[in-house]
Order: sequence, then structure tokens, then C-alpha cells
Amino acid sequence: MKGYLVFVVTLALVSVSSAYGQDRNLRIVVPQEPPELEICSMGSSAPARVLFGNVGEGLTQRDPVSGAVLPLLALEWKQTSPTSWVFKLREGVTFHDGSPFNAETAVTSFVRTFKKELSCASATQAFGSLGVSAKALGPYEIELTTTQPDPILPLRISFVGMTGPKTDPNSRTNQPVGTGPYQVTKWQRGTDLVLQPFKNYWGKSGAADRVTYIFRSEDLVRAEMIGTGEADIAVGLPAEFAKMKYAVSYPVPETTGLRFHMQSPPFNDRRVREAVVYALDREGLIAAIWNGVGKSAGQPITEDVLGFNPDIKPAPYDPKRAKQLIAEAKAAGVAVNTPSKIFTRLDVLDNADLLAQAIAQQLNDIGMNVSVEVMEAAPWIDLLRIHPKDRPGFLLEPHNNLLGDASWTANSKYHSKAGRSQNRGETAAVADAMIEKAGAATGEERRRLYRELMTYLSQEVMTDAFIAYTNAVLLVGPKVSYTPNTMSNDIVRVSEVTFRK
Amino acid sequence: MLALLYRRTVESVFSLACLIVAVFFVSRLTGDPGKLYLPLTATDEMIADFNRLHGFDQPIWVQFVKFLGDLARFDFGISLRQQEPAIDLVVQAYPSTLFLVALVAMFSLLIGVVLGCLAAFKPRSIFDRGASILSISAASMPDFWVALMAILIFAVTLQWVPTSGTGTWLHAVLPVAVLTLRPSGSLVQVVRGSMLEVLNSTYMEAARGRGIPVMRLLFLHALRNAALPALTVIGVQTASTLNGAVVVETIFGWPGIGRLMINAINNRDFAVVQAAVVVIAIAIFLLNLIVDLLYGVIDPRVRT
Repeated sequence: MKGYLVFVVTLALVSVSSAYGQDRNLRIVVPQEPPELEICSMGSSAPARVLFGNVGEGLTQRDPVSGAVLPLLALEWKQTSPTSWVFKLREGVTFHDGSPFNAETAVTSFVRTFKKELSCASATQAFGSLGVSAKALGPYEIELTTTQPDPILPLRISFVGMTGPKTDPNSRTNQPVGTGPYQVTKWQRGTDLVLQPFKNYWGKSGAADRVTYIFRSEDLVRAEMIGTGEADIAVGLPAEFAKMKYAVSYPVPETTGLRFHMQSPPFNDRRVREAVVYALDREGLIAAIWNGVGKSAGQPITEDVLGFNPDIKPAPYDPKRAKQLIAEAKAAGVAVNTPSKIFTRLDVLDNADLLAQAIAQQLNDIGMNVSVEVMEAAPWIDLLRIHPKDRPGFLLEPHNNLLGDASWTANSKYHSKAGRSQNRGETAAVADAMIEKAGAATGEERRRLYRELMTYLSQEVMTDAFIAYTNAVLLVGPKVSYTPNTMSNDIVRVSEVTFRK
Repeated sequence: MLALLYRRTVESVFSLACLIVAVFFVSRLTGDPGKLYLPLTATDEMIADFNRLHGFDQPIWVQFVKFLGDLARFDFGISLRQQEPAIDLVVQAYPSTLFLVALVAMFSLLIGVVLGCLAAFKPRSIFDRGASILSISAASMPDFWVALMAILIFAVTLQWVPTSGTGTWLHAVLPVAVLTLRPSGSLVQVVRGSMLEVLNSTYMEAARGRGIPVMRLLFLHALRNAALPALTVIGVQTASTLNGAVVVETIFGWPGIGRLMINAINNRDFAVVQAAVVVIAIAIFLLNLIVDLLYGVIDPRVRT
């Protein structure tokens, strides 16, 4: 009996001590090291993985599931005029250096983010050419004024991280001072970066006592580090890893498509563009190139983005119809055999070269003359911005709408003021008017107008031949539990990770 | 010997100057940094502002004159991407590469010389044939494939070493082993070839006849005469690793200069590219100088 008691007590002590001393070091392996740790650029991909929601916080946050804009450092807000909004700020919040968060520091953060000299990605990405000025109305109340009416300002400012008042206002910094649940305690360039809990965090702390980011650009290495126990979460993996042990595949707000060069033959003819749309075997491409990960696409935005039109179905694979349309165009004098190219680059998409080759084959099967040109980043971006007439073809392009609102896509990709738009003439004027009307609307009206725009662009003008709504893959090791959301490819909020018992 | 050193130094300084000019102009032909740095949603005006702020809107010769002035102070400017002095980033990364270089040179030399000598001692024996097959295979296998296979076998399946990273001596095992394969394979071939020539010479037969012990004969008398080609090979191989073992550093997450430079090239981070090229060129210049000195030590005819 005595021996039994000793055994039970020892077991209990061991359990208590092991639970107490559970390893709560979370190791996240990412493909790229953040080049810098500037909170005013926390919206761009590599810094976002470390900073967004972990170190830096905005006044608002977007719920990746519902798409709703939720309070964060601002408790409530209201629009006081078409160009002005008033935000009531949360009290009792402190920055990592102990400075208090208030209206004055919020204003300083906005001014800093929009300073031209700093080229902050958060401003460029989420606001485009929209200018914002900030003014304190009281100790915990600020007013934001935009250069044009903007009904989704509360959503846009979720990308603007608040920065401690002692941060240099005139130059970028790698010592981020935010209000988030974690703070950067060590960064050994090229090796790792460590976050530790911020003791005075205003909200609920995360479960991890220490977060270590490890940088490995080789996909296989990142994936295998989960199996060997060297990492707990591996992000940014290509589709070929989707069936691996510990892998989780999840949809992201990204659509891959072919952007037609609509200024020169043969794609200045709508019948040819429609033929391309029918000639693509989307499900076959997704199965063969992306391991079945992804969904056939029919419009430029994904279903979690406001303005997605559920009535637009991806075009069926119908090579007969495609051949018929090509024949009709040819009979009408369109030079359907004009040599055209699919312009792509390897780093924008998983297996971009294979996808481009497969598409070219499917288009040549309907009587077109298509080849592939794999480009380096700089010339591809040049082509994306200005597509010269003497380079007929398409751009194989993934489009990501991290903002969660169709205005991002409409303004940057389809408005004729955006250099990227290939739409010209009468149809461009119609699209511009629709974009401007939808952009000024709010609520259900906004949703309806953007849905109409999606129908117009995808089914009437046919600006692009959409291929797939992309899925991303990450691996979650046995030590932790994490459910990815649509933003997890860019943003992993550490406080959403829990440890398994 | 001093004349040789002087000549080599003058030649190297001239090469370095040509290299600096080429890197400056060629890197600027590769694209607009503003377009690569800013998000795709950036307007033309934002790109123009960015280029103006960083001086990329200036005529190229104005940028070049400024670059030369800064270079005189060994100031390469601030990294566009990393917001730190470019030279600091290079100086931080280079020791990791030098560590690899030193270990790889040492192991390659050891393996190459020992296997090459032993293979040449009994030509066409099983050992010789085995060493030849292995060394040819080692010299011709692509680094990236060997690196991935090594990770799958030794880190994932056997779990003897970590997959990647730094921190303990175990982390260095796979990168060093993978990088050693090719130079040691080449060295075995070269050492074997030159040793065969030396061992068949009349003075070696005479030495054998005087009863000099085999090991002394092989590793002291014969090797010294066969060392020049081996020195050339190890010099060339080490110089290529000094350039940064880009593939191996990337796969194993080794924080060396190769990985730093590739990222800088992809991001048009001119300051880092220029700093890295100059530092690497200086390192290669010093290495060549050491090789030249060693030539002089091994072969007195070179000194004249």
C-alpha cells in the first residue's frame, strides 16, 4: 500500500511538473526573412508574417472569416462627412517601451505612415493614391480625413500599425515598438528572430512563451522540419506538399488568371477571348499542376471578398465551342494565328512554367499560336504596368486581395486610371463609371454594385480568362494546434496558436 | 618573390577596378528598383518619388561619381531593403561563408591528397578503380541534388543531424560534407594524375632503390613534386566557395554571403550587391596571393 502511494504521489508530481514546465517555445519556419521590421510596412508579406497582429496593431482588424471590420485599438467609429471619420480609442494601452497609447501617438503613427520619404508599404498597398490626414480631437479621440470620399476607411486602416512615439519620424527602423501581444527580443540576421510576450499587453496574451521564426527558402526543408521536430508551423508551402502528413490546405484571397492584352490582335476580338475562356480545362490544370489544390475560377476575387458574385460560375471546358468561336473570328478576318505569348515569371506562382506550358498546349489545340516566355521580375512588372502593342498575348498573373473588398481589385486592376488595365474605349468608360459608383456606395448597395461589376468584366468584356482560386498549404506539427484562415499565408497571429496537452 | 607579389597586386587592383565599374553599370541595367520595391498597387507618381528620394532619377554618371566618392571611404550606402549599412550586412554574413570555406578546403585537401596518392601508388588496383569511380561521381553530382538527398537520408530518415540552420557543430556537418564532395573529387583525380607521372620518373625509382620507406617516399618526396596542379585546383575551388556557396547556403539556411547576395540581386538592392562584390573580390585577390606565395614555396623556379 505504501509503495502504491509513493507511486501515485510521484506520478502526480511528475505530471504537475511536466505540465508546469511544458515547452511553450513556438517555432515557425517561413520562406523569407523579413528584410526589415518596420511597423509602417507591416502589411507587406515577409514583415507581415512576424509583425502583423503580433508586434504591431492597427485601430481596427478584419475578421478573416466574416470579413467584418472589428474594433482593436479603436473601440468605435463613425463617419461624420463623406471624407471624415472619428475614431474613439481604447484606453489603458501601452507601447512596448512603456509609452502610453493615446490620440497624440495615434496621430503621430498616421503622419509617419503617410510620410513620402518613408515609402511605407502599408500606405502604398492599402490606400493607393488616397491621402489621409489625422487630427486629435481629445485624449482618446481622433479624426481621419481622406482626400476623397472613402466608405471603407475603417477596413483600410487595419493595415496601419501604431508605432511608439519615440520612433524616429523621419527614417525607417528595425526596432519596432508596437502595442501587440509580443515584442521582438532578438534578431540574428540570416538565422532567426525571437518574439517574447509583452507583459503589459492590454488584451488576452498568447499561449507561447517564446516565438522563434526560422528562415528557410527551400520548400522541402521547411516541410521536413515539422517531421523532425525542428519547427512547429511551416508556412508558404506549394501545393505539392498538400498531401503530406501534418499538411493543411486552405483557401486564400488569390485568383490566378490570364490577363488578355486587349489592344492588339487576336485578343482585341471578344470572340477570341471567349474561345480562350472555353478552351481551358481548369479542373485538369488544377489536378495536374497543383495536386488538386484549388478551385476553378470565374472572376477576379474570391468568395471571402466583398463584391464576389456567387452567380458567376467558372466557364465549362468546351473545346468544341472554343474552336467554333475561333472559326467565326477567323471568318470575320481576325488574325487568330498571330503568334502570342503567355508571359510569366517563376516566383509569382507555384509551377508557373508548367502551368503556362499546359495552357499554351490547350490553346494551340483550338487552333491558336501560343508559346511561353518565362521572364525575370523587373521586365515582367514592366509588362504588367504597360503592355506594349507589339507583344500580343497574356500575362499569367496571380491577383491577391488581402484587403477583403473588391475596391482593391477594381481600382488597381480594372480602372482605366490604373496603368495595368487593358480595358479601353467604350467598355472602359462603362467599367470606370461602375467602379466609381460602387466605390462610393456602402453596405448591401456596395456589394450589389461590385457584383454587377464582376459580371460585366468577367462575362461581358472578358478582360481575363480566370483559372483558379488558389489554396495555400501550411504544416502544423503535433505539438501545437492552429486553424488557418484566408489570411494565414501572409499573417499568422501567434496568439491564435495553442499548445496540445 | 617580391617582384611576383608586386606584379600580382597591380594586376588584381586593375581587375578589381574593372569589376567595380561593371557591377555598377550592369546592376543598373537590370530594372527599376522603385518598381520592385513598391507594391504593384503603387502609382507612377509614387515610383517617381521613391526613385527621386534614393537618387535613382539622377543621370547614371552622376550616380557613378557619387558611388566612387563613397567607395573611397568604403561606404556603400544603406541597404534599400534592410535599412542597414550595406557593408555591415556583408561583414556580418561573410564569416559564416569563410567558416565553410576553411573547413571545405581542409577536408578536400585531406581527402584529395590521401586518396589520390594511394590510388596512384597501385594503379589499376581495386582501390584505384574504386577511388576513381567515387571521385568522378563526387565531382559531377549537382550540389542541390546532393544537398536535398543528404537532408532526406541523414536528417529526416536517420535523424543524425539537423536538416539545416546554425548553432552547433552538427549543423555544419551536412553543408560542409556536400560542399566538400566536388573539390575533393576533382583533387583525387588531379593528385592521382600528377603522382603517377612523378612515381614513374627515374629519380623516384632511384629513391625506391635506396630503400626509402613507402609512406615517406609517397607523401614527402613524390607529393611535393606533384603538388602544383593540386594547389591550382584547390585555389580555384576555394575561390568559387568564397563567392558564396549560393545553392548550399540557401538549402541549408546557412547565413552566408551567397544567400545575402542572391536576395540583394533579386531585390535590386544595389548597395548590398556592390559591397558584397567588392568584399568577395578582395578575398579572392588575397587567396590568389596566398596561392602564388605557395607556388613559390613549392617550386623555387616560380620565384624568379
